[in-house]
Amino acid sequence: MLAALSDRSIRRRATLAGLAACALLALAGAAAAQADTTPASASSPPLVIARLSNLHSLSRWAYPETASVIRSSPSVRANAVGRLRFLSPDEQAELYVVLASAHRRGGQTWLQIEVPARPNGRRGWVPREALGSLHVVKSYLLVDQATLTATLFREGKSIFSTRIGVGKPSTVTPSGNFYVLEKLRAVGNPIYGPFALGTSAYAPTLSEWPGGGVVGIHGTNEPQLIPGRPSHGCIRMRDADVARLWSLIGLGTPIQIT
Amino acid sequence: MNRNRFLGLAILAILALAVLAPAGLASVSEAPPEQGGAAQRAARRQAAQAERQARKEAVAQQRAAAKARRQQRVVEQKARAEARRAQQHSIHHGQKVDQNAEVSIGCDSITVKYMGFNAVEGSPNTVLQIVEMKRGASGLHIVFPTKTFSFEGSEATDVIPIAAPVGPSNVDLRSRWDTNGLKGGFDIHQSVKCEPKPAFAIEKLQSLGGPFTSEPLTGNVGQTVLYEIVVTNTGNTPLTFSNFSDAVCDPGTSAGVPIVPVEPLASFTVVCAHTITAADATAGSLINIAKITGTPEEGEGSSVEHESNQVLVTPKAEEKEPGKPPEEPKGGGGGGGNPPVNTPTPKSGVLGTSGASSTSSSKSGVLGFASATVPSLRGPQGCVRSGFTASVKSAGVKSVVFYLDGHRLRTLGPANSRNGLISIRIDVSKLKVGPHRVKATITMKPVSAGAKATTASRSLTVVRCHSAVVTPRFTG
Repeated sequence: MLAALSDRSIRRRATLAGLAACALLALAGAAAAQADTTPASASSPPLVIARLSNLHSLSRWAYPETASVIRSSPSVRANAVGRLRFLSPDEQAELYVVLASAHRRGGQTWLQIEVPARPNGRRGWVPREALGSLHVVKSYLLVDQATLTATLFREGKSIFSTRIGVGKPSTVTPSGNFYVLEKLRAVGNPIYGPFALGTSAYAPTLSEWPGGGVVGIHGTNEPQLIPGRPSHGCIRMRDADVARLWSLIGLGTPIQIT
Repeated sequence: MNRNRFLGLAILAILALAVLAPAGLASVSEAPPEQGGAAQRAARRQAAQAERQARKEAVAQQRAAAKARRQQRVVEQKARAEARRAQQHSIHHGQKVDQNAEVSIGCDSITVKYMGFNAVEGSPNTVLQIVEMKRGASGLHIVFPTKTFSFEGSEATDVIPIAAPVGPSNVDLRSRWDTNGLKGGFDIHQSVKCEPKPAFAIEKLQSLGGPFTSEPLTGNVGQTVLYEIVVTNTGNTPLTFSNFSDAVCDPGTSAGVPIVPVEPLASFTVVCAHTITAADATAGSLINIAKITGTPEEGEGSSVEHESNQVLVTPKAEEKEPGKPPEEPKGGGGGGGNPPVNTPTPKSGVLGTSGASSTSSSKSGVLGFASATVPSLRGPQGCVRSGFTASVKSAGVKSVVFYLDGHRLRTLGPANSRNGLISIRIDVSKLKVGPHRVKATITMKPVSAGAKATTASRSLTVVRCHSAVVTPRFTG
């Protein structure tokens, strides 16, 4: 019995030692993780983060210069979350909305971008030199699925608004922050109308769709269904409306779908 | 698990032996006569039973004693922890924690002075510091970056900016050291109550292509100076920044003032650019100071305005090409100037890039950038579908070799320049859809007799796209 007791005591001590070791490891891990992403670390100069886009009145975007790895934080040691692409699924030039820059004095400058890929809403960091010069847009498109309206704002003022068709309950239009990736003249299939805008959004339920299931903003050959919820995830407008929007909206314009 | 089972079996075996052995001994010493009979057996059974009972009672007593000892230990541990906590809570500003540390906790910062160490080279001389700040009602919980630093002498002082928020907050400070065999540390938990104190720091840095610095630089007329104005909210209340002014920034080149309030200890960087002009050269210096105003939320103090440090660029007249007037720099940050190797060029009024790489750079002059700088390669961005022009400014250039996807296209020189540009027209109609790399190897004329010619490579990516008249593949 005494032997058992002493053994239990040894085991308890071993457990405590193990817990202590785990705690130390966790602390060390936390310290290592913080070293790259937070300001005021003793060992490295502070990371200065500047916001470059507010996705409403001022946003910035850029074309890629290299097929750089996109990382989860501004560090070459951070996890890779993807890679910059040069072409969209429709073989147009891919572009990236730039959200922020991070700069460590004497070190590399990184840019935070929105990643137009599944799952929606992914963000990542790339070295500054991986992207070309930054373009500025001062407008954004608000798509309200509740009121079935799309409104284009420029410098905070509404300059265009129209009724829209959005996804059916079984093939919903995704909510979130996206942007205009490409401007196309649609031919060959009347369901898209004369003009189409490719977005960075992907339909949540149609992953096997040709092209990956990109959500577009386009015209329609069934204008009687607008306003409504007739689509497979795309945002449909009457042809005259999409033509007007196409002429007003620029590449890289943020789209907020609510 | 196996070990436990083995131990259990061993204990059972010991107990069985302990019970059986006396019984065996008794059976030897008190061997009943043939006719002893049932009465003796009953007596033996009773004795054995009594013995078992006694053993059970002894074990129970041992268990009770062990339990009591454990409870006593728990009570003692609790008392010790309570005493330690009481001691920790009693730490006041500037109090000496022990013989090795003195701590002062304020609303702006925590100052920890380590002393009495005997750091020896080669021995571990490290201190690990963890600071957390919690505010009950708001749920605010800030974990400051863990700091690990080394001693070099017997003392070290560390100041941790905390910018405690307005109202009461709990500050936890943990420190552990391992210095030349001396291991120790302390834990402090203290409440601080802070009044609103809007404050911020502003620092101006500049670059002529190299690292950003606050040191004076020397640049050529036509060269673009990039400025970074780093603003850090050092107070304890969010600030909304406005009225940024910087007389030297070229119009349309400044960007980066956030429109949302900046939280305490957060930073942002305003960027802008200025192309050195002949007037700057005549003036002899280009002194630049930035100004900005930080306004706290209502009831949290008054606005604060600060000027940055001044940074100085001494312009240096650009060397003229024989028979050519000096090139006029373009204003507005539209890519003017001749950025040297790896220089971010401001475009569209924000951080820009040349997208270039280099094989060599000038070594003479201040920070190695005052001599002839290699111009950037310009070309289209985004989709190209038929053809495009790539060009290099011809000023100071001896020759340019153009490559497309590694294949040499042509070598051009100043004799081929038109409107100050050495250009090449590239037809991409026969190229595959996708990215293509255009490279220019640029050789500069030597800046002085006997000097070496500078050669650098610039490159850019052009994307050959499919026609924009397509059948989209959207979900519809």
